[in-house]
Amino acid sequence: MIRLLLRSLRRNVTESRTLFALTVVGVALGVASVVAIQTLNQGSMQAFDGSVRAISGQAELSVLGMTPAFPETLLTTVLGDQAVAAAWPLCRTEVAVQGFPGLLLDVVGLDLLAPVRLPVAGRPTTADQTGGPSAGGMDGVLAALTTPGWVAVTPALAQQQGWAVGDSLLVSSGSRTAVLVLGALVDFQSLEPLAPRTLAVMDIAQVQARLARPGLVHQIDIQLRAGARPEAVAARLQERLGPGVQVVTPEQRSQDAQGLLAAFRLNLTALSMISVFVGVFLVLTTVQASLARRRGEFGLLRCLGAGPGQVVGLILAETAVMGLLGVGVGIPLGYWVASLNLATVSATLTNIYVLAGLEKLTLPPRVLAMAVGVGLLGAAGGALGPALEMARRDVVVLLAPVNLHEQTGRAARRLGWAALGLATLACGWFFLGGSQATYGGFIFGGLMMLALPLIVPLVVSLAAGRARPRGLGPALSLRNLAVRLHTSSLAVAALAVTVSMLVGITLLVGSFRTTLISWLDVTIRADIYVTTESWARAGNEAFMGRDLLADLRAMPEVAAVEEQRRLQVRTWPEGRRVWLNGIRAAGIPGAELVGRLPLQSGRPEQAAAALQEGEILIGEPLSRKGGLAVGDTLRLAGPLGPVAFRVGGVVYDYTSEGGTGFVTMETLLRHFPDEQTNNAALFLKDGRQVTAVRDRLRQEYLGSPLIFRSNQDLRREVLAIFDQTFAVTRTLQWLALLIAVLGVALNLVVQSRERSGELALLRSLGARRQQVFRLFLGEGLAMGVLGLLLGLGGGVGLAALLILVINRAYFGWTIRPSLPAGDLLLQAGLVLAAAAVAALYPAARAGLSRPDQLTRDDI
Amino acid sequence: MDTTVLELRRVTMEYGQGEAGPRRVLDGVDLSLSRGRSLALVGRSGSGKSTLLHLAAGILVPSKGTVHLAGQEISALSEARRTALRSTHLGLVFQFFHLLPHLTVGENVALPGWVAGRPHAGISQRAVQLLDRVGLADRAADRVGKLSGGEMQRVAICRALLLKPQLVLADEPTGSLDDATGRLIMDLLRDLVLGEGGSLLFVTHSRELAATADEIHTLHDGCLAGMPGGEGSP
Repeated sequence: MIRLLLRSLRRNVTESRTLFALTVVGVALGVASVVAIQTLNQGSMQAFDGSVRAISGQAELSVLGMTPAFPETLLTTVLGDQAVAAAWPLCRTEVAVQGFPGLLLDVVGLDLLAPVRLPVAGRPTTADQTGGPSAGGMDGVLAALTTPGWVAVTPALAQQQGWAVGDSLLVSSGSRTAVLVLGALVDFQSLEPLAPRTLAVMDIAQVQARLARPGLVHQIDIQLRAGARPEAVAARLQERLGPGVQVVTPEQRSQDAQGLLAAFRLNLTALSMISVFVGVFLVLTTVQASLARRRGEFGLLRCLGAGPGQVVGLILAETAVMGLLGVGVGIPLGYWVASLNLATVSATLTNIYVLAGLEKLTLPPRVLAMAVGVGLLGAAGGALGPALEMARRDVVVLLAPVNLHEQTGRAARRLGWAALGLATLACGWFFLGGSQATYGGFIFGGLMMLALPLIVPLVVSLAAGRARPRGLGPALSLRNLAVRLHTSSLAVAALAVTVSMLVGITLLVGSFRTTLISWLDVTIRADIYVTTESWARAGNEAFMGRDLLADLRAMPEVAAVEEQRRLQVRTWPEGRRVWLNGIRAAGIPGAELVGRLPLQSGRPEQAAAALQEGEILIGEPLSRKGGLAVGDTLRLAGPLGPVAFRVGGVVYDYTSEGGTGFVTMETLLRHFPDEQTNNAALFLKDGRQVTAVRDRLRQEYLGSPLIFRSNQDLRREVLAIFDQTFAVTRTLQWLALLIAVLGVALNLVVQSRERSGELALLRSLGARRQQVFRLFLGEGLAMGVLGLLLGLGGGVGLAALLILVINRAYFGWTIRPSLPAGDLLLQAGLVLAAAAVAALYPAARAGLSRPDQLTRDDI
Repeated sequence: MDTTVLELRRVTMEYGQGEAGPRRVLDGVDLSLSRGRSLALVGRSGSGKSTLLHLAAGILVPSKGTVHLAGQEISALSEARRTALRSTHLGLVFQFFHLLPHLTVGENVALPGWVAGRPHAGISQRAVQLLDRVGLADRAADRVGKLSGGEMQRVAICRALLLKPQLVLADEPTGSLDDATGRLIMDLLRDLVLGEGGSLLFVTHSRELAATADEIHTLHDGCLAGMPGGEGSP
C-alpha cells in the first residue's frame, strides 16, 4: 500500500503540477495566517512575561500598588514577615531619550544592595575602575550609588544606538529632564531572551530623585524562606499592607496581562481561522477533482480486493503529504508575515494597552504544533468527505462513466435546506440565550459562516439556470458554472466567505472610524494640546511641571489652560484595570467639560452638576463591563482603601478598552491626593492663531521634551493610531482573499481539465481560441460576481454581529453603522479583478484545447 | 461551374516521429465530393476513417497533399482561418452526439450560431425550424439529459445544419443507436442535408447504411478504393 501511495503521489504531482501547487499554496497560506497571528499573540504575552522575568525572575511574590505608586515605607512591613527571606523595592518609569526620536527607556530603579543577580558586561565607566553593580563587586555598587545619573543598559541597545560605557544621555520624564551616565551594560536577555532591549537599571534612589518621586515605589519583590507557602504569605501580607496594594504571584501578573489582551487576541485568532476555513475549501476542490479523475483507479483497486478503509487511508495519506508540504511552506511564510506586522502590533500593545512593546518574535513549540495540526487537519478535513464518498460507492458505479455534477445538482437543494436549518438553529440558539454565553457571538458567527457555503450550490445552480445564453457571452459563462457544480460551488463558497470577512470588517472599521471622527469633533475642542515625549508610555508617571503650566497660562494668546491627570487604577474588589481622568476644566464658555463628554445616558445639566458634586462620569466600556448605570456606585481601590463614586452619567468613550472614569481634578485629589498634571490643553483667545502659536511654542521649547499639537494634529494622530491598530486585520483580510482567489484559479484549472471534451467540441464547431479564452475568463468573473454578492450579504450580517454584539461584549463601544461606500466599491473592484486575474491562466490553458481531443467519454 | 465541395489530393498523413519512424495512416488518398451528393466511407477500425474526417474538417493538416473545401485550400490556411472556415462551411455529427448537458435542446442547436457570432433572433428561429423538422419542437426548452439516444442524435443533426453548411461530416452517426433507430436517423440526416443543398460525408461500419450514399469509398490500410453508391446514386 505504501508503494502504491508513493506511486500515486508521484503520478499526481507530475500529471497535475498546477493543481498540486495551488493546493499546497492554499494550505500554506491558511497555515501562514494562523502562524502569523499566533506568533504575534504569543509574542505579545512573551514580551510582557519577559519584562517581568528579567527584573522579577527571582521573586516569588510581588507587591503592586492599586494606584500606580505607593509609599516605600511598606517595605518595612514586608520584611517584618517571618516567611520573607528578602524583599527589595522597584521604582519604574519610562523615559524618552533626547536626540533619539521615539526611543523610550524602561527604567527600573533597584536597590543595588538587594540579592538580585544581574548579568553585567562592559568596561568600567571611569578611571577609578567603577563597573556594574555585580561585576565590580562593592566598588561597582558604590559607583552606581554615587555616580550621578548612573545607568546600565542592555548591550543590544548600546550597540544599536552606538553608545559606549561612559556616554551621557539626556532623558526626560514628563517635562523633567535629567542627564544619565552610561555606567555598565547589563545583558538582561541572557537571563530572559525575551526581555526588552530597552530595559535600563539605576539605583532606586537616583530614579526617585531624578525621574520619579522620592518616597514612592511601584513594586516590592519578595523572596520567601524555604518551605513557605506563597499563597499563605500573600494573604497575610495583603492583610498587613492594607487595601492600597495587592500581593500577587508572577503567574497572577501574567494572567492579569492576558486578561487585558484577551479580546484583542481572540479577535485576531478568529480572523486567522477564517483563512484556514477558506483553505479547507481549496483542499476539498483538489481532492474532489483528483478523485473524480481517478475514480476508475479506485474502482479497480476495490475490484482487486482493497477495502473501503484502505481507499480512505490512501486518499487521506496523499492529502496529508500535501498538508505537510503546505505546513512546511506556511510556517516560514507566517513568521515572515508576523515580522512584517511586528511594528504595528507592538505599537498597538503600547498605545492601546500600555504594555511592553514587541521587539522580536520566536516560534514557540506550541505554535509549531498548532501549525502542523491546522495544516494536517485542514487537509484531512477537506479530503475526508470525498474519500468517504469514494469508499462508500459501489464498485460498478466507480467503474462506470459518471456525471458527478448531476449528483451535486441534486444535492444542491438538500444542502440549501441544511443551510436554512443551520441558520435557523443558530438564530434560535443565539436569540434564546446563546448571546449570553462567553463566546456566544463568535459561535453564532461561526455557525452562520458555515451555513453560507452550504447554500452556495443552490444559489449557483439557480443563477446558472436563470441565465439565458444568446451567444458565447457572460450568460453562457454563468450557465457553465452549473456544469461542474461541485467545484465551482466550492470556489464561490470560498470567495463568499472571504468577501463576507472583507466586507464585515470593512463595515466595522469604516463605521468605527466614522464614529470616532464624530466623537473627536465633540471631544477635541481645545486649540493646542501639550504633552510630553514619555507620556505615551509612562502615562501615570509623566508629569508636567507647575512652572511650565504657569508659563503657558501667562502667554498673551492663551485664554485658558485645561489640565488633565490620567491615572490607572483598579476597581474594587474585582481588581479590573480602569483609567481615572481628573480634569481641571478651563471654564471656557461653549467648551464646558460636559459638552465635550457626549452623554450616552443622563442629562447634560444633571451630569454637569454631578461632576461638580464629586460624582463620576463613566465611559461606555466601563458601564458595560462593570454593569454600571447612572445612579450606581463605582468602587475604586484608592491609596487608603476603596473609594466610592456615584455614577452621574455614562459617556461615549473610545479612549480605552478597559474603561475610563471622568472626575473633576478637585474630586480626584480628594481621593487620590497626588497633585500632578499629565497633559494640558490650551484655549486661545483667537482660534485663527492656532498654527502660529503652535509653531512659536515649538520654537520656544526646542530641545525640551514637550510636544505641542494643534487640534488637527491630534485628530490626525488619533486616526493614525486607529488605522495602525487594524493593520494586522488588513493583512489577514488580504491573505484570506488570496486563498479564495487561488480557489477560483484552482477551480478553473480543474474545469479546463474536466471539460476538455466540451472545449474540444466548441473548437470543432469553429470556436476560436480567443472565444474559449473569453468564455473561461467570463466564468472566473461569474464566480467573482456570485462570491461578491453572497459575500456582501454575509458581510452585512457579519458586520451587524461585529458591531452590535461582539464589539459591545468584548470592547464595550457603541459604533454607529455607516457605509464606507468608497472602500466597499474599491474592494468589490479588487475582488472582481482578482477573480479575473485568477482566471487568466486557466483561460489561456482552455484556449489551447484542440478539436481532435474529443473522445467518447468526454461529455 | 465547379460544384466540388470537398477535394483531397494525394493526401498522406503520418503520425509520430518515434524510433520506429512515423506511422502512416493515410497514403496518397484522392477524394472529391460534389454539392448535393453523399459519400459513405467504410473500413475497419484503425483504417484511417476518422483521420480522413479530421483532415476534411481542417482539424488536422495532411503531412503531404492538399485538402480543398469550398474552393479554398484549407491545408494551407492558418489554424485560425481553418477554424473560421469550419464554423461557416461545415457541420459535424458525432457518434456520441456530444451535446452539452447544461444547455437546453434549443440552446444546443443554437451553439454553432453563438460560436459564429450570428444574431440571436435569426439563430433562434432557425433552431426552432430545424427541431420542428425532426419532430422535437416541443422539446426545445428541455435539458438534453431527458432525451433518448435517437432524439439526441436528431438534435445533433439540427446543430450541424444550423448555419446551412456546404458540407456535413458525420462520424459513425448511428454507432450508438439500435439498428432501427440508426436507419431512421441516417435517412433523416441524408434527407435534411441534401434537402438543404448540402453534401454529406459519413463514416460507417454498416454496409447497409453505406449503400444509401451516392458513393461508397473503402479505406484499407490508409488507401482508398471507391465504388458507386446504392439507392442515392444518380
